[in-house]
Amino acid sequence: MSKGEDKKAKLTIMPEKKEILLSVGENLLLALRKEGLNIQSLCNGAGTCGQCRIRFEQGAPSPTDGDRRFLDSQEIQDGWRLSCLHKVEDKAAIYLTTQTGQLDAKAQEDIPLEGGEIDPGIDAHFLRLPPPGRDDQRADLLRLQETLGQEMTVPLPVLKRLPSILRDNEFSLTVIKAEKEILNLLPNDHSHDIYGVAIDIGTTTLACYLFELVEGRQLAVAAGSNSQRAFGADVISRIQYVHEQGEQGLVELQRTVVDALNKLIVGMAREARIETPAIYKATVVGNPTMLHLFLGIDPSGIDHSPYVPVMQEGLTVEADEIGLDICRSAKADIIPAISAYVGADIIAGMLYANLGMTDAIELFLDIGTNGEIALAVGKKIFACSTAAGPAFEGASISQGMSALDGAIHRVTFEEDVLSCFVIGKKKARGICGSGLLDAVAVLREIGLIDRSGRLCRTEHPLSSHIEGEGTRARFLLSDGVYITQKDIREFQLAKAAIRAGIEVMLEHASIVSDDIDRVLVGGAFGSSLSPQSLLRTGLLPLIDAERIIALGNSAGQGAKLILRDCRNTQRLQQLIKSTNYIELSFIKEFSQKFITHMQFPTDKELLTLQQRSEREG
Amino acid sequence: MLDKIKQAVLAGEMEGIAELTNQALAQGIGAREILDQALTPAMDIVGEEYEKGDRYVPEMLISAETMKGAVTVLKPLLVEAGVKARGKVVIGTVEGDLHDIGKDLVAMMLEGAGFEVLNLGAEVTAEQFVKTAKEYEPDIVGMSALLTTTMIHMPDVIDALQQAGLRDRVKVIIGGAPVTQGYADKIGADGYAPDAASATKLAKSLL
Repeated sequence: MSKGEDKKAKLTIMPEKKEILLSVGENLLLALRKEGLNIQSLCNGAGTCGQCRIRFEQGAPSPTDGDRRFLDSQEIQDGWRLSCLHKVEDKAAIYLTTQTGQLDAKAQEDIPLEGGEIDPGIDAHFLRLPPPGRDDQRADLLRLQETLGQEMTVPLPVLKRLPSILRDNEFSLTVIKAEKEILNLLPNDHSHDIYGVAIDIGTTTLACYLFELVEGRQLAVAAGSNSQRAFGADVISRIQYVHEQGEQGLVELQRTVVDALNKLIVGMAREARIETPAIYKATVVGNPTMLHLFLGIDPSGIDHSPYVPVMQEGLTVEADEIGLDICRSAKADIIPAISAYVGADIIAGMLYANLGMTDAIELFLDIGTNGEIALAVGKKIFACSTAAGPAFEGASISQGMSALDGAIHRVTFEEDVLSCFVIGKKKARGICGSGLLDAVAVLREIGLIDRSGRLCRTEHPLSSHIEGEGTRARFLLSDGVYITQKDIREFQLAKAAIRAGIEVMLEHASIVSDDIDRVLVGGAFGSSLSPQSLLRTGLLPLIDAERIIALGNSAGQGAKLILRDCRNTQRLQQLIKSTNYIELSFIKEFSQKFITHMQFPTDKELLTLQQRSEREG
Repeated sequence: MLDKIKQAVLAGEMEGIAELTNQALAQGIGAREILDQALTPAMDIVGEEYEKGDRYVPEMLISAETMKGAVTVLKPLLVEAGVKARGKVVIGTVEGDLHDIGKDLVAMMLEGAGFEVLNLGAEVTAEQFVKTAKEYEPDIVGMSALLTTTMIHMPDVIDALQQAGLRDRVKVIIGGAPVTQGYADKIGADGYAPDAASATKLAKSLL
């Protein structure tokens, strides 16, 4: 094809019927992504993960061998294909498998932090300046500083507005400042219009919280998928993407996450009826890779030994430098980390969990795509990180999804009835992390999953819910939502990684599981987490269920604490000082423990659990 | 009894396997017999099932670990009886890379197939590979890498073997998520396998 003859094909995205023009011959996955469509691909287009499936309503290309490896003949007939294996050919109508929708705040059971003293480090003053006269020729800025009683720096764009604001409003104005810097000048009294946003950048999920900073009330919460997922499911594949694509890839990943965050921020501002430029502070937590990418810093040192990040100290940047849609001169505080794998999200979670503040022995878990574990023995804290993979966030599960409307988030089996609880009380359309955990726990408890993790038919009446054989076996939960044998295997890999990490930490601190006073669980499971399920699946060692406490999104809660009160940064430093990082990859016993804990608890262990819970109940 | 051991490996009953193996020995069944008629066939089935998609990685790991439990009991007896292994393999994950589990699985599957395996662990430098190849005189050197950033150390190891004059005496096989047959050809490895089951087949075919 000669230059300029770039042939385009019109594709219709269903069900929105949105029409897009794509260049013929281009890789379909890449072309759709360029259009801003978020399609998951764990292998990043290598044709080996089967995640980037889309359904052609019309104009399906002929299936390739790669399609056949991941899709059965019915699916192929229905028009399912792997988008990374096809080129843009002709006009077609396709359905994407992207998940959209707001995280249901109730399901998230977000716990707003209210009351108490706050000190966000930002304040607003409504001032009336003495007007100039023959005997008062002070410059506008000096006039302002002397009325404030403080020398301040002012960004140039803000300074430019000073004379007109003063003269149009009889020398009265609102000054919004942080320590020694004026962030904004506004006409009239806006001394109550200062806002801040706490941001938690998870590998899979983003969460944002909007606060007003006079009394510290939470005004709105928003959550959504991390749009970087399209470039790989875990931190390693995102780093590899940067490695392969270089500077351009880094820019792409930075822009996509900032865009996604801006959408959440704009949505929250609309809900709270405020303007985004009135947001003067952002507190950002996330794992080190996410924070590197958010700042546009190359995270390459993180994926290989000896695992060296570019920075782990906290950092303050201007919103404008990273493109956050808040006041341009607002400061974004990036919370510090402990190592390349135990990051700001964990430190913030530890702050929220009050770890290391008493003499108790406490185990803190943040369960996500990476599972971080901190064990506090008195004032000493050991921390490590283990690669659980995205299963707990519903990402590598056949009908897995985030905790959005329509996700099964709790499964119980009581008095011979299997109940699936769906977020938003809607028809089930998938399952999220806590639902998966419960489902596996129930199936193991009633013996439909054996110790090795195989689905098996027994005398149990629910055996009739099992369809198919061997690796194709699956169990019907409700409304056409299944948990497949493969899902159970994914779950096993994830839970074994966390359990093996816990065992290593206990050994390291020379304690046994019975010594643990409290287990605090934050992260992907949210607050609808069932302690019994953690025990029945063997994700946790055998301890009393009542010692297990669900924290919800501990990283987000920690970020809120820091946003509301900057004095908490000192406590963060304290926590960092008292934490010893343990690199699990240097520990030989880890893989052995990982394999051992791939199995589920034995029938005998389950019986002990049952007896314990009956005694307690 | 042999069938019982075979079934235990297939079902992944890792706790009971040492005792079961000892029982078999007490009944007068030879170590060689247990290896050839129970363990190796069990692992062959595990490998086949995996290749057909009838088994996933967790089950394969559990079975391999179970088999390893039996091999630990049998090893001293096999050495004592002078039973020759099918071949000797040195295996490790390359420099900068700490991903152990996939490579460990390959090592276990090879042991199950009757190879003598020296597992060097992770972060193995080219010098360590060469030193071990000199001292241990393996038939095969196996390398694994999980990252594109560490995969680049594979040709360094091949070069080092060449310079030490050992390249003609060993076969080099490679594997790991980013590795492909094309890459193996490019760097002059003798073989590539996408998973543990096919790695065993590959090793057998090279000897």
